[in-house]
Amino acid sequence: MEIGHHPGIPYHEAPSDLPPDHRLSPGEWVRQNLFNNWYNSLISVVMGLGLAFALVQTLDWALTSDFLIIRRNLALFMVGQFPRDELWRVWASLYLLVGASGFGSGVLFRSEQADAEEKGLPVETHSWSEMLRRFWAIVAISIFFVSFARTLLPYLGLVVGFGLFVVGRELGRRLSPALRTRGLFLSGLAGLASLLVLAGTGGLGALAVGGLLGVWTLSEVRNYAEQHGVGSGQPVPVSRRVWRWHIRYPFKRRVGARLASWVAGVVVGVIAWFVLRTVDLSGFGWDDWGGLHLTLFVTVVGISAGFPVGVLLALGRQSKLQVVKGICVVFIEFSRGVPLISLLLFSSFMLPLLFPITFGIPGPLTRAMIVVTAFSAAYIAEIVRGGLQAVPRGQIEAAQAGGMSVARIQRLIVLPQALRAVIPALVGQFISLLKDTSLLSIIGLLEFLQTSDVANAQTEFLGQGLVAVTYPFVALGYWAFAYTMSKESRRVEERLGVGVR
Amino acid sequence: MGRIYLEGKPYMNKNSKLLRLLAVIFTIVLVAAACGDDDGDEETEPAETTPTETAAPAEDDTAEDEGGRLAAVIARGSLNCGVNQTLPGFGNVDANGNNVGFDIDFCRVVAAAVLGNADAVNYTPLDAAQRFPTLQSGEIDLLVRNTTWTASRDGNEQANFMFTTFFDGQGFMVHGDSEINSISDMSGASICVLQGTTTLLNLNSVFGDMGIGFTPVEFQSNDELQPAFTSGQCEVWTTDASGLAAFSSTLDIPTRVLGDIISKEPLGPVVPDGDTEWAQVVNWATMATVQAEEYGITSSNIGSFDDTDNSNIRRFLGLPIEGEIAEVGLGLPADFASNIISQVGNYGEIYERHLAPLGLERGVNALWTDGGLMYVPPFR
Repeated sequence: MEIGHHPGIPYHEAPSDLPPDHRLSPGEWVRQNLFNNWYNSLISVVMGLGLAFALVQTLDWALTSDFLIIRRNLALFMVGQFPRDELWRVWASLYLLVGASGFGSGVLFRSEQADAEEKGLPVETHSWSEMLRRFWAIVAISIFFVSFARTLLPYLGLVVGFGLFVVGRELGRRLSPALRTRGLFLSGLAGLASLLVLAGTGGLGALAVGGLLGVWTLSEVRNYAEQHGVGSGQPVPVSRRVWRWHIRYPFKRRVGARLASWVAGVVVGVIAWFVLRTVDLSGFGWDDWGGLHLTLFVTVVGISAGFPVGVLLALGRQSKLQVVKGICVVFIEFSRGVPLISLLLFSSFMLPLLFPITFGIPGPLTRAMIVVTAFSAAYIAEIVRGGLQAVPRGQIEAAQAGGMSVARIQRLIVLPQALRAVIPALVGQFISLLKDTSLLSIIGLLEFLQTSDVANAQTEFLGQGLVAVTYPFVALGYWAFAYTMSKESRRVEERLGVGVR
Repeated sequence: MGRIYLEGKPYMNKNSKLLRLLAVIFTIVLVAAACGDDDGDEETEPAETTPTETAAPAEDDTAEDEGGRLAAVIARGSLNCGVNQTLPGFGNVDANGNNVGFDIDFCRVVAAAVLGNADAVNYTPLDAAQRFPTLQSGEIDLLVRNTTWTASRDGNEQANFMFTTFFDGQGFMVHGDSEINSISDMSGASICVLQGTTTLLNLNSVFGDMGIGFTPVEFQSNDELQPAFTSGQCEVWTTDASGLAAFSSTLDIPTRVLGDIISKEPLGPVVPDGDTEWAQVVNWATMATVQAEEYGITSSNIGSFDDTDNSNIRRFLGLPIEGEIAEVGLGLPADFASNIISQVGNYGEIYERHLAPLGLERGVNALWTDGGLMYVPPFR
C-alpha cells in the first residue's frame, strides 16, 4: 500500500499523511523568523548591529589586552601563596584525585551497567565523546588556564592528568561489579590521600584514613563472617527485635561476629592512624592554600560535609522528640537567618573563643570551613525538608505496618524519593556555595576572586586598569565549574526521571 | 502472637525511648571522652608536639603568665604577623606568592632581630575590620598593616603603637609642568578631591585657616577622578600622599607629588597592650633600621664595619669592644641590629625597595639629619 496517495488527485499535490517536513534552508529560516515584516526586520537589524559591535569590542579586547599580568601570576591565581618549591605536592595531589575520580566513575559506570542488564533496562554504552560533552567546560578551562603558562611543565602536567583520568576510568570499568564497594572505597582512599599529600598526615588526616580503613576492615570481617557462617547461621532478620535477643535469636553467634568485626576494625584503624601520625609527610596544613584551589576545596568541603549534616538536620526537624527538633530548628534558623558574611566574621572573631584552650585555636581556613559547612547544611536541610514533605504519608505508614525500623524507612523509602525530588534545588545551592566562597576574602583568605585584586596591587601592574583582564579570567573559572555542575544535575535528573515518573 | 503484640507495644515504646535516651547519652559521653583524650594528649606528650602545630596557641596562653610574648615567639620559632595583601608598596603578594612590601619588611625586621631569621614569619592577612580584634585575641604577635596611630585606638583598642615607620598624610599632586610648588601657590586653583571624605574636610579647614581660595572638583571615586586630572579638568589632586604616589606612577602624563602634607597619618607596627618587654623588642628592632641608615650601614656594606673603630657602631652591631660584647638587656641578642641590616636592610634600603618605585619621595620620612622626622634614641 502506498502511503499518501489519494486517488483522483495528482500525486505531487496530494496531502501527505506524514507530517510535513518543517526543515527550512537557512535562507528561508532567516526570512521567516527575522525578516517577516517591517518591524521585525528593524529589530533584527538593530540587534544584529549591536551584537556585531559587542563581538568586535570583545575581539578587540581579547587581541589588544596585555595578558602579562595573568601569565606572570598564573600560579597565584591557581594556588595562591602555596610555597612554590613545593608545587609538586599540588600536582601529585591533583594526579591522585584525578586518577581516583576516574577509577571511581569507572566503577560506578560498570556497576550501573550491570544493574541495568540485570533489570533488563537499556544498557548505557561507554563513550569518551559523551564524557567530553559532559565535561567540556572544565576540560576547556583547564587548557585555557594552562595556555598562559610560561614553561612546558604545566602542559605536560595537564596531559598526564587527563591521561590518568582515562587510565583510571578504563581500569574501573574493567573491575567486576561484585567488587563495586571495594573499588569505590579504594577510590575514596586515594582521594583522601590526595589531601594528605598537600596537608600532611598529622592530626585529622591520619584520623580520617585510620577511620576509613577501620570501617573497611569492619565490613570485610562481617561479610566474611556472614558468608562463612561464623555469625548467625541464617540470614540476619533485620528489625528492632534484634535488640530483644533473649526471645529467640541465636545471640551468641551473631554477637561474636559483631564483636570480632568491631575489634578488628578498631585495631586496624588505630594502627593506620598511629603509623600515619608517626610517618608524617610534613605537609602544610591548609592555611597556605589559595586561589582557585582554595575556592574549589572550600566548595567541595561545604557540599560533602554540609550534605549529610543537612539531611540529618532535616530529619531532626521532623522528629517527634522535642529536644532534637528544637536544636535542629534553632540551628537551621540561626544559620539561615544571618548573612554568610556575618557567619564568616563570627568564625573570625568568636569561634576562637569557643575552642578549649588545650585544643589550640584552629587556623582561619579551618574556622571558615566550619561555618561554611554549617551555612550550607542549614540551607540543604530546608531544601531536603521540602522533599521529605513531598513523600506521601501513606508510604511511611505502610512501611511501619510492615515492621520496618525508623532508620530503614527513612533510608529505603523516604530519602530516595525526597532527595530525587529536590536535585535541582540542591544543585542550585551547591552552585551558589561555589560563588559564595568569594566572600572568604573578607576574613583575609586569598580565594580565587581576591587573587585578582592582589595581582592588580603589584607595583608592576598597578592602576593600569588590568582588572578588565583579570576579572573576566576569574569569571570564566567560576563559570566552567558552575556550568558543569548544573549540566551534571540535569543529567542526573533525566536519568532518575524527575518530573517524568 | 496478637496478644503478645498488644501487650508488648506500650512496653516496647517505653523501651525504645529509653534506648534513644541511652544512645544520646552514649554519644555525649563519647564526645566528652574524645575531648578528654585530646586534653590528655597535650598534657602527657608535650615533647612530641611540634611547635608549629597545636602547641603554639597553648604556649601563647601560658606566655601571658610566664615568659611573655618574646619567650613564646622564641619557643615557637616564628613570628605571627598581621598584614595587608592589597596595598601597593606597603603590603602585597608577588607573583611567586611571597608577601612583599614596606610593612612586610618590618615583620621581617622583627623576626631577624628576635629569631635571627628574617624568613621565620607567618603572615596573617587581615581586613581593616579584623586587625584589632585579631591583635587582641593574641593570634598575632605584631600588626604591621598601614594602621594610623590615634589616641582612641591606643586607648580603646588595647593596641600599643610602636615607632612610626611612615609618616603619611594628605598630600597634593600636580601636573609635571605645573607652576604650583606648594600650598601657597594654590590660590584659585581647582582641586580634584573625593566626595564626603575627611580629605575634603581637611582641605576646607586648612585652606580656610590659611585664607587661600580654591575650587573643589568633587568625584565619587578615583576611577572618575583620574581621567579628570589627566585631562586637565583640575590642576591639583589631593588624597593620602602614599596613594598619590602610587597613582602618579601609573598615569601616562608627567606628574609631581608636592612635599606639603596637611594631615597626620603616622603608620607603624602595633603590638597588643600589656607586654612591655615585647613592645620594647619590637620598638628597638624597628628603630635599628633608622639608626643603621644614620650610621650609613647597609646590607651590602655591613661587612666593612667589622673592624670599625667607632665604638657606637661596634656596640650597635654587637661587635666586641675591648674584647667584650655589650648586652643591651632588651631580651634581644647582642647582634640583633647586625642581623636586621644584613637580612633586611636599613630604613633607607627598605624605603627604596618598596616605596621609591611608586614614586614616593622621602619628604618627612627622611632622616632627622636631612631635615626629616626619622629620629631614634641612641643605641647605647
